[in-house]
Amino acid sequence: MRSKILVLISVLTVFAMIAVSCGPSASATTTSGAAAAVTSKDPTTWVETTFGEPETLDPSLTYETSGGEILQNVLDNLVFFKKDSAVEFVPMIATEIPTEDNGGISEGGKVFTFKIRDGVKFHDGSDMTVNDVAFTFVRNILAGGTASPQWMLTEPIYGAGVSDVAEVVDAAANGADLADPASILDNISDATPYDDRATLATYDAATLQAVCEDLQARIVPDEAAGTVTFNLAQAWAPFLATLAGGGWGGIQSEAWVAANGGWDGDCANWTPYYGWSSEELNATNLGRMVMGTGPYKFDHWTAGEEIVMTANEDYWMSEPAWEGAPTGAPALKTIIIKQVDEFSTRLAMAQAGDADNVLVGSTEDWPIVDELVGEETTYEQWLAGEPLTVVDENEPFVKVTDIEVASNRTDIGFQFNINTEGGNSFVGSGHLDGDGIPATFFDDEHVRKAFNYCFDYDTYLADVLQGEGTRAPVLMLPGMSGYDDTAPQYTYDVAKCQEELAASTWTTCSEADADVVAADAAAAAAADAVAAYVEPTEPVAEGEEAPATLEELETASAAAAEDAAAKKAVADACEPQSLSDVGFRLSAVYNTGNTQRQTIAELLQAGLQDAGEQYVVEVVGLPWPSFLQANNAKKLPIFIIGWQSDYYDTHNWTYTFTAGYYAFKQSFPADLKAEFTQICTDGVTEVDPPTRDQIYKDEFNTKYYETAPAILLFNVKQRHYEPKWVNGWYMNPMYSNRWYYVLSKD
Amino acid sequence: MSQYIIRRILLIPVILFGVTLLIFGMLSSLDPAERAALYVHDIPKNAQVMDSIIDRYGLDDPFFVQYWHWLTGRVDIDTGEIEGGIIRGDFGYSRSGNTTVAEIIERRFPATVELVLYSIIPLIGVGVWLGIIAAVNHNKFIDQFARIFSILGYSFPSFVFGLLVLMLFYANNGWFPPGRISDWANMIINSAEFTSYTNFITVDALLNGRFDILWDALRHMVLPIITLSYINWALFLRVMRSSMLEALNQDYVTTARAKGVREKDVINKHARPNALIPVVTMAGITIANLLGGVTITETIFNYPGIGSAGASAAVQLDVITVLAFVLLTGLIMLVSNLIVDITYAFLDPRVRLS
Repeated sequence: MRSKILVLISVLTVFAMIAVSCGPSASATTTSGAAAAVTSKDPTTWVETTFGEPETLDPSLTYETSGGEILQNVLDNLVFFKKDSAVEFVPMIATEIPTEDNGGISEGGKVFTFKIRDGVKFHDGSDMTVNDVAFTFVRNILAGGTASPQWMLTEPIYGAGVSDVAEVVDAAANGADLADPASILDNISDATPYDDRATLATYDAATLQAVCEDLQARIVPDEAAGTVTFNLAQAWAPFLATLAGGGWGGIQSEAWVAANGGWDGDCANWTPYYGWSSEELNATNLGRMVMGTGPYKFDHWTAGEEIVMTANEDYWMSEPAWEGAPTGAPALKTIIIKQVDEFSTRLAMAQAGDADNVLVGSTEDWPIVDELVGEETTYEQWLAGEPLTVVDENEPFVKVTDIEVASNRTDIGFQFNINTEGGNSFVGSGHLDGDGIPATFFDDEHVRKAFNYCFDYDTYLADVLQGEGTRAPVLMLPGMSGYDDTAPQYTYDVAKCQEELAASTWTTCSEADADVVAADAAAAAAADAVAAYVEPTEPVAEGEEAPATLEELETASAAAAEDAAAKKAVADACEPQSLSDVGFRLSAVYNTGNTQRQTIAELLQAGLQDAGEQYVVEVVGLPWPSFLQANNAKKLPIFIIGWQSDYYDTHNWTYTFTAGYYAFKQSFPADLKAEFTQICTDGVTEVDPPTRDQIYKDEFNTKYYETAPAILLFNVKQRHYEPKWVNGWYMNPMYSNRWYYVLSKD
Repeated sequence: MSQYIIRRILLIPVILFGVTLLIFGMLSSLDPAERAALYVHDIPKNAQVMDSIIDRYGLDDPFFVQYWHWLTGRVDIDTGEIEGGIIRGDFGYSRSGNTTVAEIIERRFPATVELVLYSIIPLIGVGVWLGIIAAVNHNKFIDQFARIFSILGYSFPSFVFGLLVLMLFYANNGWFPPGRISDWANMIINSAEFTSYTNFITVDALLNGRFDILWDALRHMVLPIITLSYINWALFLRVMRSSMLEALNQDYVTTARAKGVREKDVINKHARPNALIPVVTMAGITIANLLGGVTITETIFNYPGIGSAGASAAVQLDVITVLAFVLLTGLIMLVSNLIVDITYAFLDPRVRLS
C-alpha cells in the first residue's frame, strides 16, 4: 500500500509540474502590489549571457565583437565615441581631439599628432608612456596577418590598397620606394608571403629591418612633448574613426607584451611575431588575457564558460567624457560574461534575475520576449528621458523600439563571372538555352536591374524584419558622408523587371563559331589521315590493335566534313535573342538554418516567376561549410553580401563593395572596378566634409545606381530589451556589445 | 577469466585506432574549403584568408599525411620542434573550444561524470523500483499507471521536458538554477582560498570544508538529474517489470510461497536478485552513454559538460576535437562493456567468460 501511495505521489508531482509550468509565469524579482519595485539580486555584479566567445584576446588579431568587448573595457583607445554617436569623438588616452585649429592635424590631413594623457597607469601599476602608445600600433601592424584587422591601419599608413605588412616587405624587396604609396602597390608581387612567417624570414634581413624602422618613423613618440605623431601616406578622412573603435586601437604596455611572449620592439627580430594564429597566441598569455588602462581589469577566462572582469578602482577618468558621463571607479564592480547557447535558458536567467541582459537570437524571438515586457518606449523618447509606457507592471523587462542606428546591413550581390570550372550545378546547363545561365550572366546590366525590380521589398520587410526597417537608398549608412535618402532606388515592379529582361539580348553565336572552328579542325585532321594512309606491309603482331583501313579513314573523314558543314549552317543562322524568349534557370543558394537568406532566395524566385514562367530560380539550401566553400569558389550566381562596419565611415562601405573585397568576390570587370576605385580614392583623401559628401553623392551614388551591382535592402531598425533594474544604457552602433563603465543597476 | 580480461584490454587500442581512422576518413572526404569553415565564422573579409587557412593547417594534404600528423605530430617550420601528436600525449588545439583539447576534457569530463554519478541513483533506483511495483501489481491500476507515467517520460523529447522544468523550477521561482555553480561560488573556486583536487565540485567542496558550495552545486544538478531520470525510467521499468514477471512465475518462487515464505521475502530475496541480471547490462550501456555526453540536457541547463562541447565541435567540423572525443567515448564504451561482462559472470554463475 505504501508503495502505491508513493507511486501516486510521484505521478501527481510530475503532472503538477507540467501543469504549473504551462500556466502564466511571474517574474522572480517583481513584487505584488500597485508599484512593483524591481531590483537586481546584486547591484554591483553584472551577468551578461551570450553565445560565441573570443577567438583570442590579443588586440593584434582580435577582429570580432566577443573579443572586442573585452578589449573595449580593459583597454583605452586614443579617442573614443561620444556617447551614442559613431561620428563624434571624445579624448581618452589623448588629451584632446586633434584638429587643424589645435595643430593636431597638419600637412593637409597627412599628419596627426596626439597629446598623450599624463599620469595614467596600467592595471599592473606601471606608468603608461608615449612609447607604449607608439609601440602598440607598430607592434599590431607588424603582427599583421590576413585574418587580422590591421589592414585598417596599413591603408592610411602605407597607402590605400596596402592590406598587410607582408606586402610592404615584398614591395621593398622588389625595389619599391616606401615613401611612395603607388610604388608600394606597383611592387607587390604574387609571391607575397601572406601569413607565412617562415618565408617572410627568408627575405633580406636588411630589408626586414628597414621596413620595421620605416614604420617606427611613421608612428613617432616624443617623450619631451608628450605626443605621438602619425605620418600618414595620404590624407585619410576616417583616421579618427578607425582609432576610436575596436581593439586594434587599444593601448597596451610594451613591457607587458614582451614579458608575456610578444615582440619586444627590436626591429632586428620582428618576423617571428608575424601572422600568429589565435591558437598560437592563446598558447601564451597574449591571447589568454589582456592588460591595459581601461575601467575594467581582466580577471579570468574559462573557455566555453565565462570571462570575468573586475572594476579598476583607480581608473584615471576624473572629468566626464560628455555631459552626464561617469567619472572615477566604475559603478559595476564585477562583470561576468557567461556562455549560454540556448535562448530559452538565457531568457529564464533574465526572468529569474540571474542575468542582466536579454539577448535574443533573432527577430523570431521577439514575440516570446514581448510577453515579459512590463514597460516600453521608443529610442527617441528613451534618449530624451521621457517616462516609459507601462504595459504590465508585473513583468520584468523594458522594451525600446525604433532604434535606427546600426553598423551593419545585409544586401544581395551578383557574381559577374561565375566559376564553372569543374562543373557548377548552380548555373544549370551553363548555357543560355532556357535551362541554365552562362558564366557572365550578371555581367549584363539589364539582368542586374531586372533582378532589382523583381525583388518584393515590402514582403521582405514584413516577413523578415517584422516591419522594422527602412529601405537603403544608397550603399552607405545613415549619417555617413554621401548618405542621401532622396537618391533614386529600385522598387518592386514586375513590369519594369520584364522590360529589363526583354532588353537583355544574348547570342550564342560565339559558341557556334567556336564549334565551327573545332569541327573544321577535326575534318582537316581526318582528311590528312586519309592522305597519309600507307598500306601496311607487316602482319599485325598478336595482341596489337590493327590499324584503321583506308575505307574506315575515308568514312570517318566524310562524317567529320558533314559535321563541319552542319555546324557552319548553325553559325550562319545565328542571331541575337532576347532573354525573354530564351528564359533561364539558376540557383539561389542559402546556408541552411539562415531563414533570412532563405527568404531572400524565395522572394527572388517568386518575383521572377511572376515576371514569366521561363525565368526559373531554384532555391537551394546548403550546410554552412558547403555554402562557404561554394561562395569562396565564386560558384554562387547570387549571394548575400552582409557587412559590419569596421569603422563608421563611408569609405569602409564604398571601397569594400566596389574596389576592395566585394569587387573581388563579385568579380567586377576591370573597367568598372577602376572607375569606382578612383571615386573612392577621391572621397577618402578629401578631408573637407562638404566636398567629400558631394563626391559620394554626385559620383558614387549615381554610378552605383546605374550599374546596379547589388540589390540594396534595408537599414534595420533594432529593438532592445533589458531588465527594469538596468540604468545608463544607450545604443552606439560601433561598440562591441557594451561599455560597462556607463552602466549601473538598482 | 583473467586471460579473457587481458585480451579484451589489449584489443581496446586496436579498436580505437580503427574508429579514429574511420572518422578521420569520413571527415577528410570533405573539401578542404569546407573544413576550413571551422576557422571562419562568417564570410571572411579578406580574400586570402581561406587559402591561408588551408595552407596553414595542411587541409589539402593527402588523407594519410594528415592522419599521420594527427598521430605523430608535425614539425613546426619556425621552431623545428614537433608539435601535437596523440601518441605523444598531445590531443591538439580545439578551435571550437578556444583552448587545448586536453584542457577541455580535463575540465568538462569531470562535470559530466559528476552529473552522471548523481543521476544513477534516481535513474536506475527509481526505474527498477517502478518495475518491481508494476510487476508485483501485474495488470492492476498501479501497474498501468506506472507504465503510462514512465512511457510519457520516455516519449517526451528531453529538450521539451528540460525546458518545462526549467521554466517551472527556475524562471518562475529561482529554486534550481542552471549552470554548474553560482557566480559567488565560482569566484571562490577560482580564488586562492579554494583548492581543486578532483575537479568534482561536490568532492572538492567537501575537501575544502565548504558546505555552502556543496549545497549550491547540488542545487544546480537537481533539474538535469530530474530530466535525465524521467526520460530514462521507462526503459528500466519495462526491463525490470518483464524480468520480474518472469521470475515470479518460476518454480522456485512457487516453492518458496508453498513453503510459507512471506510475500515480501519472496519478492526481495528470491525473485528480485534474479530479475536484476538483465538490468545490469542495460545499466552499463546507459551509464556509458551518459558519460559520453548528455548533449541536450547539458545545453538546456547550461551545464558545462563534455556533451555540449562535443556537439559544438561536431557542428563546426572541428576534426581534432571530434577525434579526441571519439577516443574518449569509445574508451568509455569498451571499458563499460568489459565491466558489464565481468559483472554478469559474477551475478550469474552459469555464465563463463572465454
